[in-house]
Amino acid sequence: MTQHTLALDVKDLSLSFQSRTGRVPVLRNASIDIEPGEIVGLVGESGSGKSVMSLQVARLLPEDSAVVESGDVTVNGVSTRSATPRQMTKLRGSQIGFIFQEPMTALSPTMTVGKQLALAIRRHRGGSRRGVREQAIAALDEVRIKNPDIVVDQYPFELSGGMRQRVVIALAMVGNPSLLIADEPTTALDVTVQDEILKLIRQLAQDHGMSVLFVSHDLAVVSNLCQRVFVLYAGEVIERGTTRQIIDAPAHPYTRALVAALPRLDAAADLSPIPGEPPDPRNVTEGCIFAPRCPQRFDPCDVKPPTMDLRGGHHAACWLHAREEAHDAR
Amino acid sequence: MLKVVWQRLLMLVLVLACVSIATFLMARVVPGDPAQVIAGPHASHATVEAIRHQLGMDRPILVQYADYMNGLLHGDLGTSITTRHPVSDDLLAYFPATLELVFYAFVVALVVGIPLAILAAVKRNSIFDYAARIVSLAGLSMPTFWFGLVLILVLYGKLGVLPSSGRLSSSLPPPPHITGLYTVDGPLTGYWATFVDSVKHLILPVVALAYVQLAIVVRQLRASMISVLATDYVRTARAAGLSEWTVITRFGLRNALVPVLTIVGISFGALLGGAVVTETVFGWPGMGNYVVQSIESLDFPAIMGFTIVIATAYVLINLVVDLINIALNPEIRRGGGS
Amino acid sequence: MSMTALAAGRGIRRRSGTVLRRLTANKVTACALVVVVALVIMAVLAPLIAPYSPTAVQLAQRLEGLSSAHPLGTDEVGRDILSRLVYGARISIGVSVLVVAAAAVIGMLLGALAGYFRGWTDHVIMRAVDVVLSFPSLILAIALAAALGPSLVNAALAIAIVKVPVYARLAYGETLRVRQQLYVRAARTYGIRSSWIIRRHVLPNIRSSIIVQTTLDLGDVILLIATLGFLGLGAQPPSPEWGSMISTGWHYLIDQWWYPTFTGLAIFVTVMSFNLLGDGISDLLEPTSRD
Repeated sequence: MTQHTLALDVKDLSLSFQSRTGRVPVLRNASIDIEPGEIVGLVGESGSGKSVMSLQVARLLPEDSAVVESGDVTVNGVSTRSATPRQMTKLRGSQIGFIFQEPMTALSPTMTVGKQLALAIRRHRGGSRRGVREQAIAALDEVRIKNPDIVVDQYPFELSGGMRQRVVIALAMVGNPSLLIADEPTTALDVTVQDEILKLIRQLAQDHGMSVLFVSHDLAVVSNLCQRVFVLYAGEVIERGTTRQIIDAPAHPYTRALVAALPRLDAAADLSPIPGEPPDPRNVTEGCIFAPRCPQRFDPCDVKPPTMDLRGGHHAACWLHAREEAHDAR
Repeated sequence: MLKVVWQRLLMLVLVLACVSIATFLMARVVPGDPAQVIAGPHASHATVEAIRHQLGMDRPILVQYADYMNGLLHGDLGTSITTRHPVSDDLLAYFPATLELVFYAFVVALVVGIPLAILAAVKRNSIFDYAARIVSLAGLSMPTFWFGLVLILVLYGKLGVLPSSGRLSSSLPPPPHITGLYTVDGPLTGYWATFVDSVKHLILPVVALAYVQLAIVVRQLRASMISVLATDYVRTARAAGLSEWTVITRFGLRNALVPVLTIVGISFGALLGGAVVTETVFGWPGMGNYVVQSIESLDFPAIMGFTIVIATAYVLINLVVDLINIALNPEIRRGGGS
Repeated sequence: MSMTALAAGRGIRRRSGTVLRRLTANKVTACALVVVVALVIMAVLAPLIAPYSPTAVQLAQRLEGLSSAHPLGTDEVGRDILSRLVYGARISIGVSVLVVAAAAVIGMLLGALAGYFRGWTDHVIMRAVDVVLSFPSLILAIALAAALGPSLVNAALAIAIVKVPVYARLAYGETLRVRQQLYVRAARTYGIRSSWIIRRHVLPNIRSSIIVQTTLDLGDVILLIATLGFLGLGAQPPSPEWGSMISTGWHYLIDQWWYPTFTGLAIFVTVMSFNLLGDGISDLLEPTSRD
């Protein structure tokens, strides 16, 4: 295949949480890849493991409870599984930038915006204390904050949610990362602010040639922003493809339900309309993971479907397409 | 910000009024008669009455109280029945010893407790964490006086390495009085032998007294640190690639400190209470020892004076804690400023 | 609205069936529970368990060391220390339970009244609470006990006075919260008697946090009783109260070390067990309150 280095390569990642009663699998053989400069969406219901996957990329999960069973995460060719904590710290901020869902609590309440930025600036750009303030103001300016010279001396509680999210983005951008992970960055915000933040992320990705992994439960938002989409269900990637392919020709019944639930006009959609609930990760049945909720389930679904290659980089893990292939062959 | 100060000071006035009234009344209602105590069990009725008159105890209660309050406002806490000195003089004489003990205990508790609590919270379920939890549990469950006795038994009785009682060996003269703290006055005046001896005498009582406070600090700070380390902003700091040291100190400790400070202020009360017990066990010539002796001789002016001084100190300490909390909390600071 | 209370009540009852199992799921808490139960049984059955009378003086056998006849030795007038410790558990545990119960009930009522009626009731009660809380608790207990005169009853009274405000403040905060609930506001609008609302809605809702506080306080109160006893402000000789035993045993520290040491150990183990059990219970009832 390609010889170039992927911005992010999650390969067959299986991850469990260690609980008192035993290990609970959260991700099962999940794979994701992102080309340099590409904006990729990761879609799934809450509990699908999408946040866990994104956090694991930066190894931000508590190491004593999150156990990697198999697979690896490679960022710009650097394996994070074998990295020491010190190497991981170095990787964070400089290779991987991270923004989170909840801007209201994402900044320390007892430090000014400028101080928090300054800590990161000194960390990643080194150098003297002189000019750090100017750099912090410039960083705020880059995320389109008005009056950055005032905001720099303000505390998070003095800022609105949208402003705080911009500050968090500025913080993530300090080290000029090659990969930005955005874990539901707009979910907690007003619709208008949402749009501004999405625009900002797209702009920054363009300006810096930065890849983005955009994690969301909202297929509408993802389809707006991303070039490719991965659909995660109960810890498994059940479909992946270009945004076009996913929206226009969803292959997996789950994705079809998601797409069907998309509002025709641009309003936020929710993933609720699929009857039933995701399986309890502690006792997942053999066979297709979606089968219990699937309207099109049939006999083969008792066996786990492999990922079927539909054309043009479009993949889905569903026996329906084996049947189609069989039909085609006949 | 001013509001906090006023509230605390108002509280102080209320506290002082209540203490003085309550203790004053009780001193005159309870069965133990100080005049009888002074006169001794076999004194004649006339002698007791004479002493009563001398103490002013035969006047109407309101007059006595007004008298007392008037004195109180002028810094006069009355006259001790046993020592015959003004209570304020007595307390002032014993104050440096207590201050020296409490101060070092406080410092030891914080210097040992804060790192231990942080280590326990950062390395949860590690050996440090278990040690911290056991240390704090034991400290909260152990009678201070018994811990003191065990220290004496082992380090004085069995090993003979440290003295068990007093501030100085009897062979040594105290250093010339500057602050009244031997560990300060000794080096200042060149009384080095006295200094070393006073440090030796301090070790056991300081350890005994520090332990409860240490237990409280460790328990609270550990819990506070654990919850702060689980917050979003600590995760943000980690995600931004900041070093673990920066994350723990600037983001973790800085935010964990605010709730803990309040507890430290309140637990200062445990330190003051513990000082009474510790001074008794170690024959430490401080205010606590003085009050216990006053209790035995039903010396109410002394007990009352002591209680007032301690309550005042306690309210003022918590005022300082409030002010530090305001300084640490930008939301209150800016809110009050604008 | 009484449906809510009913449902809440049923919820508590249904939970209690599994409370013991959930409590003992934590091994440490389970151990603490076993020790506490053993101590309580020991206290109740003291006459059956103690080998000697706690006050039987035998001057010929004074200050004896550890032996099979006197496993923990004898005191300065030849009384069996083990027997005195067994009887002492009655005093420490019994008095502390009484003190905490009294403080909790009085504090809960005061706090509920202040929080429910607000106005001057609130001012008077809560200012008094503030005043008491402005003292270091041990110092106030010492001062009160000294003023009342040294005896176990007075010491218990002093400690109860010190502890009441803790419960009053807790109940006050909870009552303010409950008061805002729709069903309480509705009940008030319909002119239902305040005493009924307080009894049926306010008190049941603040009970759980009060119970948690009592379990956390028991150990502390045992310590306070012992401390006052040690200072000569609590139980008076020849009472086998642990603190007062150390107060005399102290003089024999160097030569008959077991006398004060084992007595203190009894306090230590008892308080620690109560504290651990209290932590376990509070984790169970209010899991957010600690880690």
